[in-house]
Order: sequence, then structure tokens, then C-alpha cells
Amino acid sequence: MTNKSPGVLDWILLIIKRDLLISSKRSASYITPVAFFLIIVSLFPLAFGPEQKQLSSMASNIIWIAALLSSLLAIEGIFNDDFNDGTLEQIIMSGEPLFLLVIAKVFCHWLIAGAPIVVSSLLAGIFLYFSFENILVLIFSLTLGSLLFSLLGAFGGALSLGKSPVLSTIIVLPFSIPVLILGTSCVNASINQQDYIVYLLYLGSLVAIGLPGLSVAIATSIKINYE
Amino acid sequence: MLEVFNLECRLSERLVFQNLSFILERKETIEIIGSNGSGKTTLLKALVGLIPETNGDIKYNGSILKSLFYSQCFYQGHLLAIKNSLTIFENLKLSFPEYLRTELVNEAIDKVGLISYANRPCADLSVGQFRKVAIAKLILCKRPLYLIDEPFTALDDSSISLVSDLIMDMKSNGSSFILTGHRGSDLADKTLNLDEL
Repeated sequence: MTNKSPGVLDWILLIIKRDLLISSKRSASYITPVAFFLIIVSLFPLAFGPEQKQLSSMASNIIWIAALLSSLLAIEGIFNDDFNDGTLEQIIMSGEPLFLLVIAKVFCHWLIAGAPIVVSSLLAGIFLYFSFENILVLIFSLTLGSLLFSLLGAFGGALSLGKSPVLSTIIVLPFSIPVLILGTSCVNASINQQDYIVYLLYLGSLVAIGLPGLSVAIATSIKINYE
Repeated sequence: MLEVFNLECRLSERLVFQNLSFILERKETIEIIGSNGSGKTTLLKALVGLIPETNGDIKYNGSILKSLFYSQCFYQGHLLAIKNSLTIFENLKLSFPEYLRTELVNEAIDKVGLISYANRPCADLSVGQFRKVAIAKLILCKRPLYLIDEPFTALDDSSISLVSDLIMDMKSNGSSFILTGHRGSDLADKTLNLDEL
């Protein structure tokens, strides 16, 4: 071990490396949300029939609702494992700004649970008769939306540390509704050949505000749990 | 090295201890003893800032601090920060933000007698072996001060002497220790009984 005291970047790298390694060993952590997402999406054509017109009118809503529900599946693991085994104590003790370390944890969660959903939405888009341009809008909006779902999930996870995962889901769902409305509106606008950029800007600004704002809120919630 | 004056700690409004003072010099070991619930773990957590409801002064090398930080001390509580899904080697390699050479990690695993288990997930280990992984962490981290909560829990006789030798060795190299236990051990230079506060 070197004598140089580690900085915030060393801690961020440690968190990312450790979380990704753990997830690579627990395939369920990234396969389950994707499988759940694809199952929900594929259930709709079975329920409503494969008619292109009907499916196209509901497609963006189906994909966004499926993405929201799938992202809820992975909420519990964001902080609870670290809380239960003492890793979170070591992270708090680092003396580095906790909100930056929280951002690293949320980024890992997004890579594990959010990014695979974004990638598989490509398949879902083809499945639900999306045009190429609409698929691009879907992927771009879902990238921003899934980042927000991860942030909100982390917030719910931090508020319900050591408690039932159902509680974090109940906390997260109401906060996710504006994201869901903006996301579906964005893709619907693209499908109807209307201006969708404004919705992307709204989603982008929510990420820009939510990333620092929610990270600080998450860090504060974690500290409160130790009081 | 570490001076604690009139430390007072509350947990959910309940006063755990007050007027707690002690001085710990370099190469010294202080053992915090007391009955269950007397506040041994709380004291360690308060020193490292995991319990914010703390009053009093903590002076480290002459500077007044709110709590001790990572670079100043190594804290090992009841929760050992070991990931079940990772192997012993991976756990140790990813325990600290500093870069650890592979040989160094393997050497530490060998010292605690777990080299043949190095590539097994920690979920497969017994409670005692789990504690040994925590001892390997002690070997790997170089800090001036160590705060260890009940270091001899779940250890067999050979492991207890391994930990004792390790602490003596690290003390001779300039480190100081704050240990907790239910009764005083031979390792302690000073004993602080929380039941007598």
C-alpha cells in the first residue's frame, strides 16, 4: 500500500470496480430487469392482438411503463447490501464528499440495471413497429429517463435503508410519474411527427437538476440512518 | 496522539455515556471494557463520526477534529465490510482505495492461513474464517491508529494468538490501538471501563 492518501477519485474508482465486479458475479442483477422489461412488453401484443395500428398508438406508453417497473426491481440492491455488510460505514468514513460517492453508486446501478433496459428497448421498439427515427428518440429519452429512475431509486433506497424494499418502491413511484409523463409525451410526439425536442430538454434539465440535488438528498438520508 | 475530552454521546435521545476522557499515546493500546450495552461500540462509532450526536473534544496530533478520518485510522466494527459474492482475494484487493500489489494481498491471505481458499467466494467461509479475512485486512492497511470492535470474537486459539502477535508487531512499528472487549486482555496498556463512568 502506498503512503499517499487516497483522493475522491480513488474512492469513486473503488466503488465502481467493486460494484461492477459484484454484479458480474450475480447475473440476476442485470438479467432480471431486462427479462422483466421484455416480458411486460411482449405481454401487450398477446393481450391486445398483433394489430400494428393499435400497438403503435400504445407502444411508447408500454415501453416506458415497462422500463419504470423493471427499474424498481433493482432498487433494493443499491445501498442495502453495503449497509448490511458494513461497506457503507467505510464509505462514510472516507471523509470524501458523500454525494460524489453516491453519484458513483448511482452510475453503477444505472450501468447494471438502466443501460441494459435502454439497449433492450431497441428490440422492444422493433417488436412494436417503431420507425428508425422513433427508435432513436425512444433510446435517447429512455437513457435520460432511466438515469432519473436510478437517481430516484437510490433516493428511495437511502430513505428505507435496512427496511422493507416495498417501502422504497412506494416512495419512488410518485416521484417517477413526471418522468414517465415526459418520456411518453416525447416518444408520442415523435410518432405523431410533432416537436419532441422540448420534452428531451425537459428530461435533460431534470437530470441536470436531479443529479446534484438528489445526490445531496441521498447522502443526507444515508447519514440520517446512522444517527 | 489522540486525546478525548468530556465525550458525550446520545442514541435516539438516550444518553449512552458522558464525561468520557482518555489519552492514547503512540505505540499504546487502550481497551474499552464494559457490560453489554455500556457503549463500547458506540464509542468507536462516535470517534469515527458514524454517530453525529456527539459532544466533546477529539484532538488528534494536536488538531481538534469532529471525528477521525480514513487516513488517520482504520475502523473495524461488528460489520466487517466483506462481500459474500467476492473471493477472499477480490475482497482484500477491493477493500481499500489505494493500489495493492497482488503479492502483498496473497502474503496477507497466507499469514492468516487461508491461501488455499483465496479464490473461493466468502459466502463459503465459516464465521471464524470470515473473521480471518478481516484480520488480513488489518495486515494490509497501514494506519497510525486502529479501532477494532471485539477483535477476538469467533476466533480459535491459534487465531487469537495470531491477532495478538499482529497487534504487538504493529505496535512496535508505531501504531496505536483502541480495542473493545468484555474483560481486559494482556495486550492493553490502559483499560477504560465504561461501567464505571
